[in-house]
Amino acid sequence: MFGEYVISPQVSIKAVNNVSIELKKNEVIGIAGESGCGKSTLIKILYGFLQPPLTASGKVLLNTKGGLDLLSVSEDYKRENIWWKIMSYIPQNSMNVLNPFMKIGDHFVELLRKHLKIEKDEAYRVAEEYVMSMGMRKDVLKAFPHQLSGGMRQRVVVSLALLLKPSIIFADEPTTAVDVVLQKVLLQLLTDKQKELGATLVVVTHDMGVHAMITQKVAVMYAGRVVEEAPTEPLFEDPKHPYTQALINSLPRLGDDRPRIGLSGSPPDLRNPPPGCEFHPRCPYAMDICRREKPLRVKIDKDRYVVCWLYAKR
Amino acid sequence: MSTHLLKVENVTKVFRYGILGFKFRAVDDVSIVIEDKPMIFTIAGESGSGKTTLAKLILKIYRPEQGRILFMGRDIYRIDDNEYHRCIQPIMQDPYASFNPMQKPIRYLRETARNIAGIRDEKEVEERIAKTLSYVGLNYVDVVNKYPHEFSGGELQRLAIARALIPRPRLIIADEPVSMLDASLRINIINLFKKIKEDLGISFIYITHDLATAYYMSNKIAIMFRGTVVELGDARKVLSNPLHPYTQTLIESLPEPSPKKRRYWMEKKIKFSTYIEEEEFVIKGCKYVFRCPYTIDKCKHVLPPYIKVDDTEVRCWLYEKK
Amino acid sequence: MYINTRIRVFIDVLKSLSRYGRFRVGIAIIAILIALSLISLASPPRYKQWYVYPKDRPPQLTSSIDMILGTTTNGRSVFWIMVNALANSLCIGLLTALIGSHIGLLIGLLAGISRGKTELGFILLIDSFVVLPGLPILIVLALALKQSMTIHTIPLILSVIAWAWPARNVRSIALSVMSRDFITIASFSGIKFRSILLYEVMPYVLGWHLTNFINTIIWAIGMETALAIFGLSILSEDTLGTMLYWVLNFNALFRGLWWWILPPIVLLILIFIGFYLISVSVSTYLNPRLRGGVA
Repeated sequence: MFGEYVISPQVSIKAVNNVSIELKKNEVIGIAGESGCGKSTLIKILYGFLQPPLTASGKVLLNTKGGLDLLSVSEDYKRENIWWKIMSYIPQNSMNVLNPFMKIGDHFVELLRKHLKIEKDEAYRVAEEYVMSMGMRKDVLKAFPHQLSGGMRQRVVVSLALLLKPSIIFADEPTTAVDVVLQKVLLQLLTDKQKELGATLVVVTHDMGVHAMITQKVAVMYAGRVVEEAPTEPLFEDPKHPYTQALINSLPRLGDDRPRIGLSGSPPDLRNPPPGCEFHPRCPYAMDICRREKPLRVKIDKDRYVVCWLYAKR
Repeated sequence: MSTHLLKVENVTKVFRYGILGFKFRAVDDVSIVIEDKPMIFTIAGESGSGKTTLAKLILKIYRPEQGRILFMGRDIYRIDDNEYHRCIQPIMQDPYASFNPMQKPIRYLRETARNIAGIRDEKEVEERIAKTLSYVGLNYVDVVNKYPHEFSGGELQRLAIARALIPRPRLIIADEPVSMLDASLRINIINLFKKIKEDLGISFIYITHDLATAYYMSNKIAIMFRGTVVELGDARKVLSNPLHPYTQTLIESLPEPSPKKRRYWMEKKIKFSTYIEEEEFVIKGCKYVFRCPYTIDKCKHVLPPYIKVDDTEVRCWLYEKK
Repeated sequence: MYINTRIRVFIDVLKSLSRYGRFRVGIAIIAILIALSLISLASPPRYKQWYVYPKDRPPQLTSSIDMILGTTTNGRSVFWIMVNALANSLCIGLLTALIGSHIGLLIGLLAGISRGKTELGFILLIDSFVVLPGLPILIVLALALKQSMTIHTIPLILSVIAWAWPARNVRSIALSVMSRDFITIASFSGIKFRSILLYEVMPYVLGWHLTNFINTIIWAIGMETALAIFGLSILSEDTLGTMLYWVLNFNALFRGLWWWILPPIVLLILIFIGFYLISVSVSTYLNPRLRGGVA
């Protein structure tokens, strides 16, 4: 699929470029990459949340709905039948997405009433039970968002996203604004519930540590393309794409102070991307062909793909 | 002369929530010493731990309510601003906010060379700037006519470092200097800090919440929690053998980029408590009582003193010598 | 060279402003009004005298433009009264804006950079003038100073109130700019406080100063009209306000002298719309959040 931001009729940014991705049941998939590589845009498209200036082409097929193309149905349909129920989305800065004028309980009751068509009192009872099952006190429901700490608010947002037992959960940088302790609590909550529901969890983050701790499969993005796709363990043990190598090897670790070297240069301007492989200006192994032609997706191993001329069979 | 480059003595800074809100101590009775030898001193802690406030106190942006800060044995409020800025320079968190978007960054480098480094001759000013820029990996010609929006974040942060280096300070205070940068660029900036420390003998106060980079680069570390320093000592020792329960939790929660450690990380569950932030700020005793698994009655009422265990100082009653 | 770049920046700003349709319409309206008011320079000396023309005549085309908008009950040419009133009203608006918004700029900046007790004093001063009801105070002032009022002293009286809103606005802008990181970097670059104020803070404040300036023009013209309707402006001079006063006094409304009533009302509406459009497009330009698009 493709995703473009149209800034003015003359200028558009290809934030997501020819990406194909498959989400399997009961799996935690990570999308890695730096700011501006298109990872947030990718999951907005997967979620079918297209608002100007974002436009998308390609297909997002949903198996549970008999191969329905999400990009072809109306927003009202998605709102009624798909969002929250089949797919849910935990946005960036999720501690600030709650309506400040609504009590926490009303957030839950509104969702329950809309989708389960039940009475207010019953919805409130269901919400109470649910909140307790998520490890919170039930008087949280009586509070306004500003009365809760940032961590609690984030927990509420995660609970809301999981309320209707969706089969796909998208989490866009769910833990960038929180400290490590809270990050761990939230990630553990998310993965526990994912296992319980047998759902697919898609985690977008630039923090390779998070990928190593919770995902089963990682897709690494650079300048709008997926450059490497692999199961987590082999990816960290033996990264193939030079960009993945740099990402993983440049990370300092506790208890290890060997000198580490980073990449030179900076990410390309997507309005005017370099010809050939987008990564070649920063790549230590750049060859002639990299400057001229786009590399193709090469299968290296079971479920392992890399987009790089180094691995192309010629 | 004094053997201390910088000495922070029992410094307290009080803030207020709103105009009529409650008062709380953003920095509460903090003492740290930075010896007079090139070193990287890390101040680590979560948001709201007071680490940035402490940096601003040292930079004379805030004035402490209690305690004093000594630079080379002199109270920093007795040192003339210009002289102080020749010795201490800051690097900020957000490279895009460090330079006025309406002015060329080179202006700040020139002004620093003229006013702080005290170079009179204009040719020498440009020479010093060119030399410093090439030291941090930038090219004078590429920089001189550009506005901030024409640079990338990494380049701007290098410019900020170059500016701080121009007067050859003794100490640079870097407040989360890499947290806004892309992952692939962070390590370069961190390596640059190490190089500056070794080549030029400049010390750093590195403020961060990222313990992995702290381990990678720093000599000493102070862990802060809710305004107090809870543990202080050699960085390697503190991070590989944490004493304070808070430091232990911090290290256990750190996600590491090695999937082999996943099981250990997943199995160590953290109890999510419904503590209240305000209470943590105002409590008389140890501020960690609401979350600590080892709380005893004493913790709630009396703030533990610094207790020496080997070379590490830790503020926790667990280590009280009987 | 320095001045050249400043001029270029100014032209760039005008260019990007002129992309807003609102801005172009606003500028066009104001340009037409200014052109109209400039005609007043050619007014014949007799325009101030009564009964030069027959009274209560509707508009008619004659060889001169004197009768083009008809005459008043005092036998004066409505056209000449109108262009003079427009010139005077614009002049009052402009002078008040010059005095009031600049006092506001100065006090706002001082309040923005001062700390502690001085800051509290400034806040008290600014806020009490913001909450004081403007019209009653102006009525009292106008009553007291009625003898010495001219076109040039009315702006002084209006400025007593006019500075407070701009001051408040400038203070909040200055405060937010002063807390930004680059101010810290500037002071650690050894840049003197005065130059920080001039080169780092002022560029941010000046844009808002421009909107304040335009808003004060609107406010002052409206306020003068209000005072005039109470009969408290200088009735011997023609302004849009005094024109309305005489219209009301001679019951022109009930006698159907529409050609005397309409000109001041239409002009006031045009002035408000014109300046409002400019002010809105300037503040949209200054505030990136309102500008829209991908930032």
